[in-house]
Amino acid sequence: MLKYYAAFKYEFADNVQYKIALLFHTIIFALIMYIMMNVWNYLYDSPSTYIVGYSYPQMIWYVILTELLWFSTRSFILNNQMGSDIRSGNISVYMNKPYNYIGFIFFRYLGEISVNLLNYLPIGAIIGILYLYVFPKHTILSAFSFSLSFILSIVINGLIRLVLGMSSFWIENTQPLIWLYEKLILIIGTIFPIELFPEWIQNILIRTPIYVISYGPAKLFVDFHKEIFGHIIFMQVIYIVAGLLLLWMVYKKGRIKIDINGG
Amino acid sequence: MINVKNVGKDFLVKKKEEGFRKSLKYIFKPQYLEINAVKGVSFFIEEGERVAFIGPNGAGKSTMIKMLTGILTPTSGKILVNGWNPQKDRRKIAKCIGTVFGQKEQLWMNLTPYDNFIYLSLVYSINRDRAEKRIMELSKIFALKEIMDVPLKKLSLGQRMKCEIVAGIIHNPQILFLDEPTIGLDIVAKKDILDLIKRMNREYNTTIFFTSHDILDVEKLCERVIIVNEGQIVVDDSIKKIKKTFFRKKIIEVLFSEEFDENILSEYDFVKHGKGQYVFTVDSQGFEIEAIIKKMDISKIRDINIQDTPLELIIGDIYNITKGADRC
Amino acid sequence: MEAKEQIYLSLLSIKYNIIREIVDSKAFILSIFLSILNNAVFIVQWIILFNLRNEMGGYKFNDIMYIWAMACSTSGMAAVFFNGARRLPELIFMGKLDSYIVQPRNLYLNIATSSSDIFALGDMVYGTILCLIFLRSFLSFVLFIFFTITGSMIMLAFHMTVGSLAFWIKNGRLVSLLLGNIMMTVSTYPDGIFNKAIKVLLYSVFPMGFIVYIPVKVLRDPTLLLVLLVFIAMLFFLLISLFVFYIGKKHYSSANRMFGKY
Repeated sequence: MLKYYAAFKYEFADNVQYKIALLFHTIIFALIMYIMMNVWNYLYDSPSTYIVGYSYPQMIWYVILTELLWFSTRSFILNNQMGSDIRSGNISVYMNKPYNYIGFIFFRYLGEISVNLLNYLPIGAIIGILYLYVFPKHTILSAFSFSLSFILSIVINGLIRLVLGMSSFWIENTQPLIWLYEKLILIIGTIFPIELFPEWIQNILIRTPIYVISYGPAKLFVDFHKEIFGHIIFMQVIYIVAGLLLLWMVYKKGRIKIDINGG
Repeated sequence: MINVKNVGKDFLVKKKEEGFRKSLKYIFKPQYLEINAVKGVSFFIEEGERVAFIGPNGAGKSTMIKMLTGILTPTSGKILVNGWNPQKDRRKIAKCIGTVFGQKEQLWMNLTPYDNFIYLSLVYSINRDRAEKRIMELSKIFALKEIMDVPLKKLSLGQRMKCEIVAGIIHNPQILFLDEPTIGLDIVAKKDILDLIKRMNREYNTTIFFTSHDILDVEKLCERVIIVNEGQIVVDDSIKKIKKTFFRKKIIEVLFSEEFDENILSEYDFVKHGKGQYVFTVDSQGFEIEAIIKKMDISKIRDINIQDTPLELIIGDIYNITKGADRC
Repeated sequence: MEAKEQIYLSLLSIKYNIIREIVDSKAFILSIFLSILNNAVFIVQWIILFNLRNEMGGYKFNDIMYIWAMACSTSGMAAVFFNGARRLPELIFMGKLDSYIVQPRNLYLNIATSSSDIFALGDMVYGTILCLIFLRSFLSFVLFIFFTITGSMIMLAFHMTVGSLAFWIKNGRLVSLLLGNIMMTVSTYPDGIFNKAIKVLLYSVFPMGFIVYIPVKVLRDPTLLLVLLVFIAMLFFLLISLFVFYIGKKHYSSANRMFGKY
């Protein structure tokens, strides 16, 4: 376990170095928040109206949370590094080390995005409080359930990115796939809650990753219900199990490919 | 042709500080360090001359060549190339000069030499027929015919450098500036390229301005040498004269397999570096090299290495000699 | 003559770029298709938002599509023809302006057209498709083409201006990337939802007003005065960028100071 912790720590320390790039991304984050506040400000006639069950502050907090998740989980390690390692054959070097490659790179991902989270979480909170003057009310149970689903959503996001990255074994350029994944999450999962969609689309969306990595934690943060909590965590666990299985299969097939091509 | 008067170039270099807080502070209040890369340099070059501009790394060679070609703006002084100011009349000058930078490729790597040359002849507004003729002619001289349709990235460094030179002279310039064109090349490619440049000079009376830190290149190509150090001209003279005065020394390193009698060679200037390891400094104009080797027992030599004196040492010598002359 | 040659040269440079990318033609077409898809996904966002209200900041759904058409076609055209301007900070930082300076051509144009991002063809195509779908009249299509050209010229001016910052500051590359991103992020939302301070910025530092908002206004309701205004703004921004670029060029150090040679 110690070596995975080392991977986490190393990547964390490394990413702290890129302060200026992080600062600039943060400016873009703040700008997008500003635009979204203007959009919603325009759509809510008065502060007391509700749109699909969300009050104005709830809607803004929802967007802050999904946006900060989206900004935090974009990973250089999983999106670029792993793909180029696979294409160049460097991956065989890592695979032969006395650790589980998937576990190792996953902890590097966690180290990488922890820096982002430490940046965006406080900034998101500050933006929300300064703009709205209210913070969603929480009990110990709701805070705990939100935190749990928040962490699980990051794990699932990492698993999906791992699978997309692993597809480099078969596809020359995986970048367009990752773009598309991020775009879909951004447009369907961050700007507004899925309740805004017609019912039949909602029923589909509940079964997509958007429900567990974006909608879930944000919904629990702004509007906690025990039943929703149960359902979200249930779906998250299913995604993790299924994701791990899929990953294991892809990885095994990829290894065979490497054995044949000699890396 | 080229007239340089009292030219100086200063660079402002931002002071770097470690740590986030300090670097933040410097964003608002940057601290600069002024560095004088070229200090009050003057020289004059006639049409058809072959001039080498040499000096150790960081002496200001590249800075000078970049000011002559209009890339950098001098901080002080005056430059006239073909009667024009390289900054104000950049486009006029560009038509009559060619440039080759050894460390920067100017061509498209995924295109063939032919496509590159056609593109460049358009850049220089040469009409298609004349361009085709010129490309044919140059590809003959530079022996590029076989590789004319091979993308540049697949060619060797030497072949690429040949293409860079052809690109630099596609418009038949009156002056050719070459900044370290032989860097990284092997001996054969080096000789090839130097010969070709010399031929250019003879056939078209092209003025050659050439920088290098390799004395051998300079000896092969140039008739006049300007030596610079720390941004100033140290010597500006013909190669013959300079060779006589400064380039005459060679260094011989010998490693003997067993102990040998130092007394045999006591008349020569040498330093003992270790067990059986000697370094001789000798005059290459006389017959000293031959004489020394004759006196050694060849069967006892494990390794021998004869080389030119490095430029840094020569410059040191020059300082000593010129200072000595002042005293007289 | 000069202009004709320059256009021919830039077309040749685009052709060379296409030759380079087309090596893998399937991947190329796929990339173009994906970039169209990437833009098209945003339609979902607007369908949803316009379900809540049929007007936003004075814009109807069709108008938002015009905003998208304008934003995509201008940025696409700028990237295909003037990608060199976007790469300016990189060229400055790496000392790669040298080979353009020694050529007997207009330096500004030579650099601007020195490279081409042909994947941005996807954006151009998408913008045109949107425009054709929501077309009102033949005149509006002519105006669309006119504004695509003026808009891409203003973008060229914008990129040359902010790119020239790299002559002075080491992080110029990141800064101009940031400024470009800010502009692109804002450009696809209706200006009606922003407050006055932001609107002022949209007609000055980030000239999206002249690239997208005024053109969309004219497309909805053709006014000669506004067309002229856009044209004058284009000249103004081009002049500013020429000014900043040539002042900056005097500070060009050909990467000498970057690598700590001295």
